[in-house]
Formats: sequence, structure tokens, C-alpha cells
Amino acid sequence: MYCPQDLLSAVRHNARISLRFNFLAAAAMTLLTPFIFSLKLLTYNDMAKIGEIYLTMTGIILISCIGGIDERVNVHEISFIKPLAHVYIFALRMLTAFIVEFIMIACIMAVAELNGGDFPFWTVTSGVWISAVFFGLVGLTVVNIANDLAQGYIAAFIYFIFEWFTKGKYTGDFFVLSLLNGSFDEKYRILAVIAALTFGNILYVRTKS
Amino acid sequence: MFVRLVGKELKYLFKSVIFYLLLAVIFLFYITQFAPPAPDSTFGPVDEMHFIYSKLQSDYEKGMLSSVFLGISARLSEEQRQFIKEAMDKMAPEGLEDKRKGEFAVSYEDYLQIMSELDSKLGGSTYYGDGNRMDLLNTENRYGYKPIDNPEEEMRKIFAMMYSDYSRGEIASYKWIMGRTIRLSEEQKSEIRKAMDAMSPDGFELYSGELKGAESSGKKDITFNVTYEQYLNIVRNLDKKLGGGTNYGDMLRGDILTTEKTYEEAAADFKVLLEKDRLTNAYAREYADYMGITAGFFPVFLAAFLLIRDKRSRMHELIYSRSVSSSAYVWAKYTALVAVVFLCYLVTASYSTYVFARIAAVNGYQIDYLAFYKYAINWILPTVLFTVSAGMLMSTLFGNGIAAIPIQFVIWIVSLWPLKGDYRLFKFVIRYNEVSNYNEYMRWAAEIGYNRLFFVFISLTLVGLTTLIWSWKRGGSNVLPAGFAKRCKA
Repeated sequence: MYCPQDLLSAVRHNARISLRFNFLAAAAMTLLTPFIFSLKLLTYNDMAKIGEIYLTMTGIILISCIGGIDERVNVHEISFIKPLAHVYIFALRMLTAFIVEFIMIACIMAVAELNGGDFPFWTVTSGVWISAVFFGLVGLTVVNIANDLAQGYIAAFIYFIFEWFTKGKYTGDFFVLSLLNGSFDEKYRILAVIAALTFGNILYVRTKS
Repeated sequence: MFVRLVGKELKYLFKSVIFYLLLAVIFLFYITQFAPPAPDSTFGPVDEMHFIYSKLQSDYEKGMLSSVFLGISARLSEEQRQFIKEAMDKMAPEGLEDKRKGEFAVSYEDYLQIMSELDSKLGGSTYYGDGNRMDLLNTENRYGYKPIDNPEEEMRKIFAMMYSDYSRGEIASYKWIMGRTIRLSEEQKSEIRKAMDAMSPDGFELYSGELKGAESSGKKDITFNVTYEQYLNIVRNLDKKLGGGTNYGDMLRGDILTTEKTYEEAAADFKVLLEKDRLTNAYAREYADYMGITAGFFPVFLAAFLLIRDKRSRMHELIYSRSVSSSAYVWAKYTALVAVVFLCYLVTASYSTYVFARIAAVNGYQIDYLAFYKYAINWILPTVLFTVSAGMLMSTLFGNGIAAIPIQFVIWIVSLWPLKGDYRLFKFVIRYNEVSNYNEYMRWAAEIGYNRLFFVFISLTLVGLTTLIWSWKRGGSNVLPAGFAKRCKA
């Protein structure tokens, strides 16, 4: 049977292998935020722009990479036959990435709030996190299916740029960057899509492995 | 060897899914952002009577009064539709052959009378009535804006803005991608006041009506005791003291120092657009603006994995051991990728040329058939060259394709704003987001030209650097092609 120590060990090890370069890249982007944008005295509109247009990118960079790690380093034939089903490891990696993503976004929001920002902290933080995770999952889904990291990235970025420039004209109630319009309602629908994509990816990996 | 390598890379790229995804995003952007006009579109300004006649026609055909801008949508009864038809028949009994220039049977005064009567018959308060008709014209039939070229008028407008910012205690500021409103500190407010006093010692009092007997119209009596050059120094210093990125700075001041064009001015500008720009050059600039956005980012997904691919497929050791020089190998891949990416823009340029050829046939315009290709080569190609070279360099440097993407994203996003007028040498995407005429474009042409030459040079330098790094990683010194190296040693 697996004890909490084994679980902790699994979390540590998988965090190390699944959040390496992509984590550094996402963290660097996050750390650069106060230098690119002044985080002083920001309002809801300002934070919505920073979060939806800039911080959302960290989701794509962090989460898309989780797909196909074992295949990329050619150890999948070994890892898939281990007693612990690979799908649990994959789910663990996803959960870790979601949590790390939330922490990064919350840190920036906290810095902005401490610098005199006037915005609803949890609304903006959760809204931006939902956008980041959604685009990350779009990339992850494509990576899993196509087994190609570049395709996952470009698909996620295409969707993001398309949403940004068309401002929800074609996606309507499923406009991901809805905080730009001052609305949170769409986020609930996107959350449902996130749940579906998460479940779909887990099912796909389970079938594949 | 070089040509063979290019051929092999081209074959690989045409089989790559990512290339087709790139093509898809370029076409998506083209359709949703540039969206070339239909052949039967009207070009050029339309005067009031022609615009209202078109509106009458549209309302009659649809059977409803509607204006998105004014938030009006009301069904018309059959009787009301007949009133509209009567008004149209009075204005042009035999209809209008040319929607923009056809002759009316009534004078302007008679037309005003017809509109007034129609408004009464339709129940009053429609957008054909006197007051509401101006609102309709101001929202749906604007003639655009022109820069203020009168120094006195410019100073008056800036002075008014200073007073407004001072009174509200807030100022608009724009940095990087974000425009925001900043609360002014007391020190910043006093800087604005100092600037106002420097321009006009009693101007502030006149504006605030503090001077005895002054009325609000006293604003027109403000006199400035500075020359235009002194005024420019004042506003530039003020911009610096307010933290930069304000409407007082050189970058953004031009955007607010505009005034509405009249129909006659708009018609004259359109004539210049047809004569000097041959229509297509103006639209080609807008095309290159939108397409340049995609060229500044999406090719990095191909470029970043171009050299990493060998490592991923574990072929790098075999390739390293071959006699091909590093420069031939890297430049071949670079050339192939640039050619393939630029081909996508040539396709959209060709389609745009076809659309405008049809427009020219319908409207009788003389167009420049090479316009879209010229701007694709001069504006978009340097952006493609830079994006691909930067992607290759970053991925080679870090040994990882992921590194290039966020870096390219950050430098791309910084280049996207403002929408026109900033062509400093760190802006690798040319933004010129309007269909303006030749004279307006010529204000920026030289700056854009230097910018493009700079980025071509930088791109080639980056590829050279990539070659050196790749060669170093390869562990050898055969950077140059074998024949060239022999000649150097000799």
C-alpha cells in the first residue's frame, strides 16, 4: 500500500521532472511582471489587462509541457508498465501545475494589492487562473493527441490570440478573457470546459498507457 | 550543398502540421482583422444628402428604423414605409444612379424641409429630425480627423487638457501595453499648474473664472506669451515630470491634437488617395499592419524547434559528424523557413490584389497592382526575418525550444502599441493601423524605412551568431564552407 511519504516523494519527483524548464520560463515571465508593468495603484481594468493578456501566457507555458514527458525522453515503455498506473502520475502532474500556476498568479495580485491596488482580489485572481489553466489545457490536449509539443503550444497561442483580437465576437458566452469586459459569468462556463478537458485528458492518457 | 539542404528542409516543412497551423492563423487573422472590402463597397466620403438618402433606402427596404450607434430599432408600419418612399421620391424622382455622386432634384433647404416633414409623419423624435439627424451623422457618417496645424489652436487644446487634468487630479498614461488613469500627487499637480502659468500667466484664472467679471467664454481670450518652440519644451518637460507616457509627450500628443474633417476636406483627401496612392497602396499599409502582427510571433513556433529537432530525433551526432559546414546547415534551414513563412503572406497579398482588381473594375479606379506585394516585402518580410532568426538563436543558446516562446512573446507584445507613429529601433513590428493617404504616410516613410533596414541587418547578424553557437556546440571549427575555409588558409 502507498503511504503519505510515498505520495510526497512522488509529488516531489514529478514536480522536478514535469516543471523544469517550463517552470523556469513561466516563473521568469511572472517575475518580470512588476518591471514590465508598474504594479502601483492599479484598478480592476488594469489588473484584468495584465492578468488576461500577460499572465495567462504562463498557463500555456507551464501546463502544455506536462503532456508526453515520458514519450519525449523515451522512457514511456518502462513507466507505463509500473505497478502504479501512469494515469495517477499524470493527474498528479496536472494538479501540481494547477497549484503552481495559482500561486504565481496570486503572488502578482498580492503585490499589486499591497501597492495600493483597488480591485477585487479573489475575483481577478481566480478569473486569470481560469484563463491560464484553460489555455494550458488546450495546449496539453493537443500535445497528448499529436505527441508534439510545438503543435500544443501553437494551438494554445492561436486560440489565445484569436480570443484577444476578436474580443469574444465568435465565442460569445464562452469568451475566455471575459475580465477584459468586466464580466465573470463566462468564467463559470470555462470552468466547466476545464473540468471536461481535465477528465478527457486523464481518460486519454489512461487509454494510451 | 546549400541548395540541396534548402530543398530538403522545404520538403520537411511542407509536411509539417505546424506549418499548416501557421497558415491557418494567418488566414484567420486576414479574414477577421483585415477583411478586404466587397467589390460593390462605396469608397470615399459621402455628403449628408447622399448618406441620408442611403439611410432612407435601407430603412424602407428593411421596414425598420435602425441605428446600432444610437441604439434604435423600431418596426415601421406600411403607412410609415410609404412616407419614407415619398421623401425619397421627392429627393430623387427617378432614383439615384450613383449612390455617392448622383444628382438630387431638390436643394439643400428643400431637403431639410422634407426631413422635417418626414420626422413629423413618423411620429417625431426619429433620427430624420433636426437634432437627432446630427447625432446620426456624427456617429455613422464621420469624415475622420486631421491634425491641428494651427499652433495657436494646438496650444489652446493642450492648455484645456492641462486644466482638465489639474481639476480632476488624474491623468491618462500609457506604457507598454497598458493605458491607465493615474491619480496625481500634489507635486505633480503643481507641475501642471507651473506649465500652465508658463504658457499663459492669467490663463488658469480665466479658465476657472476667478478673474473678476470673466465669463466661461473668456477661455477664448487666453493669450499665450510663449513661442511654439517654448511651448514644445514646456509640454515635453511636463511629460517627463509626470512619469512619461502621457498625452503631453511627443509620442501621444499627436493623437489628441486632431480636429474633425469636413466633407470637402475628406473628399480632397480621397482624391489624393486615388491619385497618389492608387487606392491599393493605402489599403496595403493596413494589410501589412495586421499581417505583421502574426509575423512577429507565430513563426517562432517553427523557428524555435528548427535546430532542436535534430537533438530530439537523436540525429544530431550524425549531422555533427558530416562534412557539411555549420554555416551552410544553419543558413539553409533559415532560408527555407523564411521562404515558407513568407509564402503565406504572398498568398494573402495575391488574394487582396485580386479583390481590389475587382473593386477597380466596378468603380473605375486605377490601382497599383503591385502594392500588396511591395508592402509585404518591405514591411512584413523584415519582421519574418527577425522572428525566425531570434527564435533560432534563443533555442540554440538555451538548448530548448520552450525558451524562445515567452521571450518572443514579451518583445512582440511591446512592439504592438501604439497603433501608429512609433518606429523606434526596438519595434520590430510595423504598426500603421489606418487607411490614410499618401501625404500622411510620407510623414513616417523615412523612419519606417530605417527601421526595416535595421531589422534586416540585425536578423542576418543573429543568424550569424546562431551559426557560431551551433558550431561551437558541434565541437568543431568548420563554421565556413570547405572551399571558402581553404581559400582563407591559403
